[in-house]
Amino acid sequence: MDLRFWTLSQALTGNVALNALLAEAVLVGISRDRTQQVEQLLQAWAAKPADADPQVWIAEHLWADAAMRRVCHDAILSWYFGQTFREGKAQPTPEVDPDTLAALWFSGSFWALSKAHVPGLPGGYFGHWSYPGEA
Amino acid sequence: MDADIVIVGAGVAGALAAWRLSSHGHKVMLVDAGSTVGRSGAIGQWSAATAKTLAAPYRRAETDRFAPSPDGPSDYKYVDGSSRFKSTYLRRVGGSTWHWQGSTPRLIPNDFRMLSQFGVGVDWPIGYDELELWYARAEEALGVAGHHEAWNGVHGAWRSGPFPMAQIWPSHLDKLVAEKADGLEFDGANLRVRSTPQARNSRPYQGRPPCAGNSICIPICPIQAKYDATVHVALALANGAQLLDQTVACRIATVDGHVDGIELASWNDAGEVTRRTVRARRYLIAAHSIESARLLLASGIGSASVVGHNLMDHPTGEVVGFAIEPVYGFRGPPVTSGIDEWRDGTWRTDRAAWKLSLGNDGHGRFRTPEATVQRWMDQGLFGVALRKQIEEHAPRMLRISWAAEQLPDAENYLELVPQSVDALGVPTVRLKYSVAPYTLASFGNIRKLIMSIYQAVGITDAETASDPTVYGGSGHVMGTCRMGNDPVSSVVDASCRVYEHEDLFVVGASVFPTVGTANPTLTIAALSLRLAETLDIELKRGA
Amino acid sequence: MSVRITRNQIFSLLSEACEFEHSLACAYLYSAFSLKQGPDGKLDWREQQIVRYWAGQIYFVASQEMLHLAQAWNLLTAIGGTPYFMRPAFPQPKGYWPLPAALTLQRFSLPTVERFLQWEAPIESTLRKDFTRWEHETTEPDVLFRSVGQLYDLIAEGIEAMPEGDLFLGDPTLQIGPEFADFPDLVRVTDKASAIEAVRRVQHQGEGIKTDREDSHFGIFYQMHGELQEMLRADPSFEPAYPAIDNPTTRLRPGANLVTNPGTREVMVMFNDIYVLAMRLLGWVFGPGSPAHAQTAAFAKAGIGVMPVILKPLGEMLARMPSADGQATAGAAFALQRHVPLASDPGVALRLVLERIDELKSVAEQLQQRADLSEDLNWLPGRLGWLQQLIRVS
Repeated sequence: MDLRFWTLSQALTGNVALNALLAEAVLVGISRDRTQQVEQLLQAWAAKPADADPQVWIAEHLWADAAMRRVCHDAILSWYFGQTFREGKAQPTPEVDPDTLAALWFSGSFWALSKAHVPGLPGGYFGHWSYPGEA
Repeated sequence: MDADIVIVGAGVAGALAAWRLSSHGHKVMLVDAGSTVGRSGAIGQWSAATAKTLAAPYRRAETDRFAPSPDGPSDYKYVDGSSRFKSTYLRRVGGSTWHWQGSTPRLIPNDFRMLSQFGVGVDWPIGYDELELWYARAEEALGVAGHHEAWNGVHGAWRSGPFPMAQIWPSHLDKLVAEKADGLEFDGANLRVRSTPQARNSRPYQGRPPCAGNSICIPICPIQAKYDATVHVALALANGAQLLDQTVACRIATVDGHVDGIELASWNDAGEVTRRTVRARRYLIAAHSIESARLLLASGIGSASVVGHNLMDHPTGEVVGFAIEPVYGFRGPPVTSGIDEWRDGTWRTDRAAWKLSLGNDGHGRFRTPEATVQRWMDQGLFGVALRKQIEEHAPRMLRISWAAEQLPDAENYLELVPQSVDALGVPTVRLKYSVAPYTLASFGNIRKLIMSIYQAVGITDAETASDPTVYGGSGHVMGTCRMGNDPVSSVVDASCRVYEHEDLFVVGASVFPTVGTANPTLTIAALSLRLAETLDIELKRGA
Repeated sequence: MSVRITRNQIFSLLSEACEFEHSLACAYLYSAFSLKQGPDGKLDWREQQIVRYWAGQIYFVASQEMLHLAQAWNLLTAIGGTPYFMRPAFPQPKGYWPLPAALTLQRFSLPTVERFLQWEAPIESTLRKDFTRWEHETTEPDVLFRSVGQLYDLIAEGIEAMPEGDLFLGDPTLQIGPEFADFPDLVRVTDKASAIEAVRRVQHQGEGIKTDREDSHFGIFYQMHGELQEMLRADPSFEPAYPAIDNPTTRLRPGANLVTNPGTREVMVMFNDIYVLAMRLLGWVFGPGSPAHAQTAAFAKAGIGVMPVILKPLGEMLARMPSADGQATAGAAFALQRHVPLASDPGVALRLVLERIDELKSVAEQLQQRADLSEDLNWLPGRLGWLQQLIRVS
């Protein structure tokens, strides 16, 4: 696993619980046809001073560059929605086997933040949608 | 004779007929163009799919080659100048019930008599009263959960008995809207939120579990809590019916007004095709509206000015918004309750009736959650701030959608494309479709109603399509082989028999002369069960 | 039964049914709480699917047991009795029920599902012989019933045997129907016909009738047993549940397992307190509460709502929290307190409930601040506030 991508992902998603086993798949997915850009991004991130606030640093250093920002957005979408995104759209990822892609889908974090569950997994019990979402 | 009856199409219409007729001891041959689906493989496939469309769980290379199913409006061919037809269907054993939502309202009495009541459209040759018994049996066959007291007599649709199961629990959103908006007056009626009758288990039924809220009903229920027609395919097989899957009906051969067999092409995964002709005492075409009409046209059956014409859908739209308090969407079935007051009214002389659904799926088809998150990122949010935005706003997302009636229009049709055949040599079709002012005229009114609901409930940041003529599809493909008393303007009679063809029948939404505002499946099931009894009598009589 | 039936005997049988349904609900909930439903990292997505599916199925059965309890309360009050709350603490003694498996709180596992089958199996089920590790042979000659179905048969017989005019002493307007209790199948009991209908529904849902076993609790667990066996055959290391101990307790009792982790103990006490509050609310609804008053509806909504909204997440949390120093985790003890029923007077009952929720809120606020909690309790005070809102509507 590329540790730079892992720590960057955590900062980009606001430290939601990400599935480390899937980081490789996400990175492969967002890198196709722009490996150089992604590598530049990761190098820039690795050069961040240790005491710099990640959120502040990202806003100042990564957001200004449209291409870097796009990659960051795609990484965020990929983690939140459990698919690999490029240019804001879910893309086929033939480099990754279907079982890993399925595992990625079920690890999407948007749903838990919405007090829901990943679509496709059971919601817990019959009628749970009648009550406020799970803690 | 290969069988007493050959049924083309193992969707809900064909499967129910196959089940009833095989129960009565008849030899049934059930044919389906598509392959048999394995549920767990389909879920794995859907989970890994990039585009989570209706067909995503089901794609198979050979099936898509020999028995392709449209998965979006651009998968159809169109006559020049046609608007897009937004609804699709699935050719698999079990048919489109694999990916249907599961809602099973009945048509209401006035839906059957649009011409005599409102001077528009046509009348059905049968009425609600005659079909009621079959509606009740269809509810039992599919396993419909509903609230009898809430529904008995709505718009005159009386019920002879309770639903087989208690209603699906209303969602948190449903309860909130009911609390704040029940009683709201609009256009001469007072709103009431009602639990949507649906073929979705609220308790174990037929050995299938109750709904556990997987929320991907469209396109597949991982646990079969939602009914799909493989239930009755399996029952038919257990009764000794024969199933030929991966078998396309290419042509109905006729001689002097009798069917002289159906030419079948069976394909396999190696790409090999074997052809044969099967003969029976009766033939039932239940291949969904486009394929049924296509088969009749390709066989030269019926008048080409009627067969394939009057194609209808329930055009849709929605208004999305954010509630003041969390409604906790993205859980449970996409729709658990609706608003039905405006499915009837004197104004149907001028404009379409409509049905509202409350959506438990965020902003539904209007905007995907990822597009919403992208918007927030475009506003500069990321990291902790974005996470907080999601936590704060995603649970407040909701939609109210509508589905409006479309009147039969001969100018909405499918026709054979000259000199164009598919991989099996069957002529292909193209569509001509548009949504008339009668339907679009209601859209503005509907939006006003939803905005007043939003105001009563406390929903802000409402959004809807800026173009008032934009419409979506309900997944309801109807009207192409319509039922009627007049052989000149209809394809089948009141018994679903094809005019001038003693032994040939069609059943499905294709036979609907008008469509009201009800999701069609329960009516399809009722018509199929009714037809099965007619066929049973004829077959026993040795006719 | 050759003895002349009396009202008191029917009270006794119905109370036994109450104890049984209540105990079953707790035991089922305990095992469902222990299932790994979060993104644990150790279950792949297929395993997550089926584990969550099993949890959903068990919660469904548990909710039906609660329906049965509610139905038994309606039956009791219809014939002049009151809702019955009590039941033995867990683990229940082996001979307490004339069933081959004792009622205990155990995490989800193959033996646990086998135990479920023994509780729900119809008397003529041959399955009973297949499960050999049972503690108790029902050889006592004077046992009145050998299955739950038979217990309800006795209740039905008793109801049939007594003169209708004499039997139904309770105020029919106090019967609780489906629109109150979110139990669509709940029957208001006002005469023999409705009483027998109520009993038959309970029997049907539990063990099923001969032709419809697959849709009963028994059918659900039978299916579950097969699915679990298959998963274990494919992967013997498959572990769908947290290592929750059996029959956890915060107070030393024979047969129960003492939880010593201080933070966990506090959360267990909180669970018990909220569980008892739910019982008190529902007991009031089915007892003195009149459907004509808004307070009854509010109490019903709260009493039922508290289960998915507070007790479920709390119970699931406890199954993840440490029991002592080792790997084992704890669980919800479902300990009942001595004084359960609320006062009959609506005003007094309301005041008691609001006071109690206030108390629980401050305890929850303190609890969430503890540094030694392995789980996040930040959501709890807010949820108790939600409960308060529901009650205050009256």
